[in-house]
Amino acid sequence: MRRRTLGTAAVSAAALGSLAACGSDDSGSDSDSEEQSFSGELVIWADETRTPVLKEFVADFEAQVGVKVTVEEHVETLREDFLTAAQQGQGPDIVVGAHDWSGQYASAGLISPVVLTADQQATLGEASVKAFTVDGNLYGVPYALENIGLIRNTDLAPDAPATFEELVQAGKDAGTDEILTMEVSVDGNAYNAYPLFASMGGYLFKDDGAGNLDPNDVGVDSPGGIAAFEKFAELGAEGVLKTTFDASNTIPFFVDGKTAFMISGPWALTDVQGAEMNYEVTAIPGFEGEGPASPFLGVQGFYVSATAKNALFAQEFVTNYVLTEDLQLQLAEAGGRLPALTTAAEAYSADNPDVQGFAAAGEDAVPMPNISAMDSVWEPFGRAEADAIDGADGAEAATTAADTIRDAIAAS
Amino acid sequence: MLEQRSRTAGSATAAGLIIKISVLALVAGLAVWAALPLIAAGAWWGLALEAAACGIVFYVYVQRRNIPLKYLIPGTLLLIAFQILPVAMTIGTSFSNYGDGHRVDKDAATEAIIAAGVQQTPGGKTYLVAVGDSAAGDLTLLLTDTADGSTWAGDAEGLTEIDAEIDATGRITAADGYTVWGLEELNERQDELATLAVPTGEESGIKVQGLSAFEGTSTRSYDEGCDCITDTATGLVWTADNENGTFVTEDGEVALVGWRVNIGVDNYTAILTDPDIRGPFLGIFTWNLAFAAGSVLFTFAIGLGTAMALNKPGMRGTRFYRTFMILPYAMPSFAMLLVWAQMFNRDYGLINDLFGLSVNWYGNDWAAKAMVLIANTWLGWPYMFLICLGALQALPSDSLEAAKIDGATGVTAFRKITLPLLLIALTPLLISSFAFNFNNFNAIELLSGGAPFRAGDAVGGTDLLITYAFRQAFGSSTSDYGFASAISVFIFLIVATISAVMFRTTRNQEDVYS
Repeated sequence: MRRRTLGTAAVSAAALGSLAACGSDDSGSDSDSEEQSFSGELVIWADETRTPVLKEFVADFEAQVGVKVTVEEHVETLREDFLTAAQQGQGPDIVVGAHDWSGQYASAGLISPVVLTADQQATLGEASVKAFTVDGNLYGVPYALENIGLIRNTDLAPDAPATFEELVQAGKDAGTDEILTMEVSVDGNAYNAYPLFASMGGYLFKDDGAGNLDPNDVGVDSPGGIAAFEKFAELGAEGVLKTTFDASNTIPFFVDGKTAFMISGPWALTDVQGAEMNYEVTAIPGFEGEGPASPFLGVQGFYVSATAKNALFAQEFVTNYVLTEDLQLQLAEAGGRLPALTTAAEAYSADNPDVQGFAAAGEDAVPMPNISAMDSVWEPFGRAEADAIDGADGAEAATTAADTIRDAIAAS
Repeated sequence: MLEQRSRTAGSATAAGLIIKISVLALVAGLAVWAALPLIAAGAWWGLALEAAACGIVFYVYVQRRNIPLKYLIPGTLLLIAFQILPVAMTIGTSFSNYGDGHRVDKDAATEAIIAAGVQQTPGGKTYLVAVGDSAAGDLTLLLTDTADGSTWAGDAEGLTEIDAEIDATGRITAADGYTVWGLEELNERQDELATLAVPTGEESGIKVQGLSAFEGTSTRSYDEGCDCITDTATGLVWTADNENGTFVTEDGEVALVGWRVNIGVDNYTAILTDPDIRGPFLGIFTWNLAFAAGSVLFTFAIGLGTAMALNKPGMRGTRFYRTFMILPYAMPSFAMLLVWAQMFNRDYGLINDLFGLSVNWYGNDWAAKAMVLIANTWLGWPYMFLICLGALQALPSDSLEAAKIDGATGVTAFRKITLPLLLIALTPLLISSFAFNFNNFNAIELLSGGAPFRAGDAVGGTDLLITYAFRQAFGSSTSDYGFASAISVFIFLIVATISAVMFRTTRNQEDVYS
C-alpha cells in the first residue's frame, strides 16, 4: 500500500487503525494450509548482531500468520539507511534499533505510533516504555535494555567501592598504572560521563514528572551541572580521567591489568571474559554525600515504518510477537543484554552474575533522552567534559556547553 | 532497402556486428528493466529522460554516420548521470530546508501528525480481529472480545453481537452470513479495509492494529479550508506555515513533524551573513588552503629530493630503496591513518614516547595542524617520488649538458633548467594533488576528526570545508542536508575557481618554456 493511500485512509476514515488493519485475521484457521505458500512479505531491517537471531525466530511467525518474513542486515549505517529509504517511501516494514532514534524518526514522520494495551505495558518495565514515548505516543516496542556499570578486577581490588572516592583510593592502592579507565577521548563522551554528572546533581532536560522532557530547560549549567564539571576538572587534574582514554585502549588497559576499574557496558565483557580474569560487575558509585551515579538506560526495540507496505502484519509482529518470552530470551542471549519483558529478564538473569551486576548498576538508570533536542547535547557536552578534564575551568566549560546547546535547540 | 543494407554494412566484420547487436540489445533490456519501477512509481519525467537517452543511443549506433558521436556518447551519458546530475541535485537541495524534522512532503507530515492523535479509550475493550464479507457483500470486521470471548461483527453501522466459530486463540474462523477472508485475501485486499470505519460511540471507533483491535478515538483532523490540523482532545489548532514547512499553534508551538519546502537562498545567506557561520567559514577556508598547499609542497619537496637522489648516476641499491619508499603508498591509507591517529595519543602514543615529548596533539590547534600535515605528507610523498622519478628520467639531457658547458653549478642548473622543465610536466599533477588534498576528507576525519574542538565550537582546529559540511549533514548533531549542500556548492565553486586559475597559469608557463 502506498503511503498516500494510507494517509487518506487515516484522515478520511478517521481510522488509522483500519488502514493498518487491513487485513488481518485468520491466523488460526489457515495456519496449517498456509505454510508453503506465503501470501505476503514482511521486511525487517536489523543490525549485524540481531539479524541472525531474528532470522531464526521469524520462522515461527511465518508459520503462524502465513507471511514471508525477510530480515535484512544493515551493518553500521542502519539508522541512516532507514531514514534515507523511508523518506522515499521505500525501506522495510520494521526496523530494529535503539530508543533514542525514536525522536528523530518520529519528528521525521517516518515511524507509526503503536498502541500497547495496559496489560502489555505492565509486562514491561516503566522505563522501557517511557524510552520509546515521544510527544505522548509510544513509537516502538522494547526488547532489550543496556546500561554501563563498573567492571572491577577482583584480584586487584577485592571489594566493590561504595563511593567514587573509595574507588579512586582503591585504584591507587592497587598500584596499577591507571586508577580507572573510562572512554573519554579527545572529544569527550557524554554517554559515559553522564553517571558522574548525575551524581553531582546535574540534569540535561527538566523532567515534568510524567516523563516528558522540556527541551527549553537545559540543566548542564545548573548548580549541580557546574559542580559536576568542576568535578571533571578535579578528576582530570588528579589523573583519574584522561582524554587519552579512547576506544583503542579503554578495554585493553583493563584486560592487561593496567587498571583495577573500568566503566563500560556489556559489550566490554567479551574481551574481559576472553582474558580469563576474575572480575565483577557492580553499580558505578556516586560521589560521597551526593546522589547515585545513574547511567543512561539504552533500550532496543522494534519500530513500524510509516511507509510500511505491509503495515498490518508489521503491527501484528511488533505488538504481539515481540513481546513473547521466547524471542526476548533469544535476543538477550545473542546480544548479552537484559530483556525488556520482566519475566524474560528474571529468567535470563537468574544464574548470570554479569547481567545481575549491570541490572544493579541500572537500577537508577534514566532512559537516554529521545527528544530531538538531545542531538544538540552530545557534542557540546562531550567537548566541555574533555576541556574540563584537560584543565579548563569547570564552571566555564559547563556554561559554554549549555549556551551552545540552547543556541542549537533554538536554531532547529 | 539499399540504404538499410549499406547501414548495417557499417560494422566491418561479422564479429563487430554481433557485438553491436548484443550491446544494443543489452541497452534495450536495461532500459526496460529500469522503466518498470519508474512506471510503477508514476515518475513520468524520469521515464521520458530514460526513453530519450535510450533513443539517442539507438539513433547514434544503428546508423553509419556520426562516427565522432559514437565515441562521445557513452562518456557523455555517464558524465551526465554520475557527475552533472548529482551536482544539480546538490544545488537543488541547497535551496531547501531538507534535514531533521523536514524530511517528507506535506501530505506525509500531516498524516503522521494525525496518526499520532489516535488514542486508546481508557478502559476500552480490546479485540482479536478477523475480516469477512457479509451476505450483502459489505466489508465487516469480525471481532472477538479478549476479555469475555464474545463475538461481534463491526461495519459502518457499528457493532452487532453474532454467533461464530472460533479457533484455539479465540479468533473467528466462521460465522453465519459472513464469508471470512483467508490470509491471502487479507494481503491482497488490504486497501479495501482502509475505507472501513467502525464506530463505537460518537467519537470513538474500532482501531485495528495488526491482528488485534482496540476501542479508541482519532482526535486530530486536517481541514483544507484553513490549512490546519485541529486536535479535539486538547483544543489545539496547528496552522500550516508553508514558508518554513511546519505546523504551528498560535502560541508558536511547533508540531512534531514538519515537511520539506523550498526556502530560497536562506542557506547561502546564512553562510554569508551569519557571523556565527561566516567567522568559522573564513577560518576553515584559510586552513583548508594551507593544508592543501602544505600537503602538496611537502610531499613534492620530499618526493623530488628522494627522486633526485635515486636518479643520481652511480647510486647503488636504487631498486631496494625504491621498493622501500613506495611502502607508505602501497599500504591502505585507511589503516595507516588509524595507526597514525594512535601514534599521536598524548599519553600512550609512539611519537611522544619516542621523542620524550608531552605534546597534546589533539588538544592544541597548532600541534593538531602539524600532526595532520605530518601524517598526510608521509602518506603522500611516495606518489610524488614516483612521478618525479619518471619525469626526471624523461628530461632531455642536452639542456642539462648545455648548462654544464655554460658553467652552471648544480644548484643553478637545478633551479634554472631541471625544475622549470619538471614543472611543465608535473604542474597538472600538482594541481590535481592540490584539489585532492583540498577535499581530503579521509585524512582529517580518520586522524583528528576535525579536533581540537573547544566547548561551544562548531568548527575544529583542523576541520576542512568538506569535513565541516559532512558533520552538518551526517554528524552526531542534527542533520541539515540543505545547509550542508550549500557548503558543498561553495566548495565546488572554490575548487573549480582555483583549478581554472592554476591551469591558466600553467598554460602561460608552457608558452614561456616550450
